[in-house]
Amino acid sequence: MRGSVVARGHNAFHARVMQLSATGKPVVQPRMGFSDTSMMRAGLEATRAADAATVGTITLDSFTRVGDHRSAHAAIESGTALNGYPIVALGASRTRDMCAGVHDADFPIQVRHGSARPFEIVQTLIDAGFPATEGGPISYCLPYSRLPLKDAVESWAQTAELAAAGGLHVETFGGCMLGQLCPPSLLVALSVLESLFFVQRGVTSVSLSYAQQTSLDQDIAAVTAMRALADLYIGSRAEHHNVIYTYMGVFPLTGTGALRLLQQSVVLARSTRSERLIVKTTAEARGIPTIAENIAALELAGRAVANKRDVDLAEARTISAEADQLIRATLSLSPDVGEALLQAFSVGLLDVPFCLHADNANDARAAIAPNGRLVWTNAGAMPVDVSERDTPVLAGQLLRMLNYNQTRFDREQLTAGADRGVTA
Amino acid sequence: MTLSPSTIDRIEPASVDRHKGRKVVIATIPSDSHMWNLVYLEMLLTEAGHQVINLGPCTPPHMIVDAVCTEKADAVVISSVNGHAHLEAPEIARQIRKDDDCANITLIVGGKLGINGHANIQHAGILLSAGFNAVFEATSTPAAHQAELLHLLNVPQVSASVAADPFNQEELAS
Repeated sequence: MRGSVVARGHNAFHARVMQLSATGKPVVQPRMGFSDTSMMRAGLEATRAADAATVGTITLDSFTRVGDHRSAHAAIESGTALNGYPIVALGASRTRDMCAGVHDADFPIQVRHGSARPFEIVQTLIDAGFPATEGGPISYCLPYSRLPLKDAVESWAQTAELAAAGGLHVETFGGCMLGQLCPPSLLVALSVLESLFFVQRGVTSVSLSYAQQTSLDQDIAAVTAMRALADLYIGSRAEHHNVIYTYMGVFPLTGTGALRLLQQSVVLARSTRSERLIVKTTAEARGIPTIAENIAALELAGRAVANKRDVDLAEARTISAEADQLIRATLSLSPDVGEALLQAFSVGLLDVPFCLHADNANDARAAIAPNGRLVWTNAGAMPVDVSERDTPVLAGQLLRMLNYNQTRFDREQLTAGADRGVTA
Repeated sequence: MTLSPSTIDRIEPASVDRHKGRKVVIATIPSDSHMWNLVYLEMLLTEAGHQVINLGPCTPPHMIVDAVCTEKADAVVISSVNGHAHLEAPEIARQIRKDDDCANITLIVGGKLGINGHANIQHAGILLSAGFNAVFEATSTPAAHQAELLHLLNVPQVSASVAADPFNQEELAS
């Protein structure tokens, strides 16, 4: 692929996503990474050939993510399988060869890494000709690293400038964070703030993420709010689209339960006209999915019966107002978005519930209300509405909340239809 | 005694024999960024009456050794779910067993220790040889493992080595 910018200044990844999703069905995308290059290629070929509108993924291994390329090398030398593709250890040239003929404008590939210090990774992926990556100074530091936030902001600032020069599309992972138990107003605020961070440094093609949580209606309202706020804050400075993540927490154990949760994420994407959906497979509860399991999930998502559900505008407005409060309070701290984010976290204006990182206040707490919605039970220093009395969470309660979707979707089959015939 | 999540709910810290509470360091391996397992374990052990020092994700081994020696910890629980524990956890055990100040503490490792699902229990040998006292591979019904974990922490000195796998709940003493 010759560079990552196509006609009219559009990024190839964004352009293809917009083209494929124009009908209102999201493009579907897997998580996929193998250290064995022939397996990685096979996975990409299978994704391209799947009976669904797809774009490709190369997920990096966790040694590469933390910059431990020596361990990645050692594993390659000894033939030990890693949990992802070691792009830096293998290098740009070998990576180009690996996907030659598979990777082109019709099947662009995004490199996913989760690194708090991504400069070398992004340099390599640009050299290898890929048009898109993801992450962010907050979303790939607080949940995944012990690197001081200051260092992550600095590294991501340099990386964002590198990305801007290379015409790269950068997706913010701010809508995911720890993947569970974070009320949507904060997820939306972080997605918008991180995308502004990228845009301020010259990136002109971005996407905003949101991870499926415990209430479909709340999620539809949240993504609606996120779209509106993205339009408001980004405007025409960058092209942008939305990406939904199928639930990232503890996954249903039963095949049907997993399918239903996946289906609901498709409903979320369709109802909000989100352009891209990153799926989970039925194997998630057990381990790293095989290529076949991934393709099955992509094709199921593509075929899923997903009748659009109307948004509750009042709820969308409430979430939007709360997210906007967080965004404006943060931006008011500094004209530099990176500096503003640093200060916001240091005073607890932004506070991710349960997040152990030293630079996160970890006073805020959230819970799942009886109607399935995520609510704040302790605001910390954030200007948010606390709707439930703060009671300290016990281990058993935390476990139940973390297992909420698994329990809900695995048990659904036991009761569905059981009430038929109870009354005339 | 079997502990299910609902039973755990009802444990009152006051009813636990305080003098049995141990100082436990919770950590993971350098490449593992997962956090919920560490958050949950901290709560579980705290409610069981232990004093927990939670070092958080992506823990460098030297930080674990430093914490153990500085805090004079009784035990270390390494929890990892990214599949790399069989590669990285042995070094943690080796560094601790090499250190004169803390060589004899209880060392436990658990989680998804490899990338092959239940077959990961095959890595138990390497981990036990490196110096861990107990190895737990993830299971979808963790109550028995949690009970065993709490039991091990309450025993002053663990002499037998234990490897608990998801299918065979019997101890493989070595």
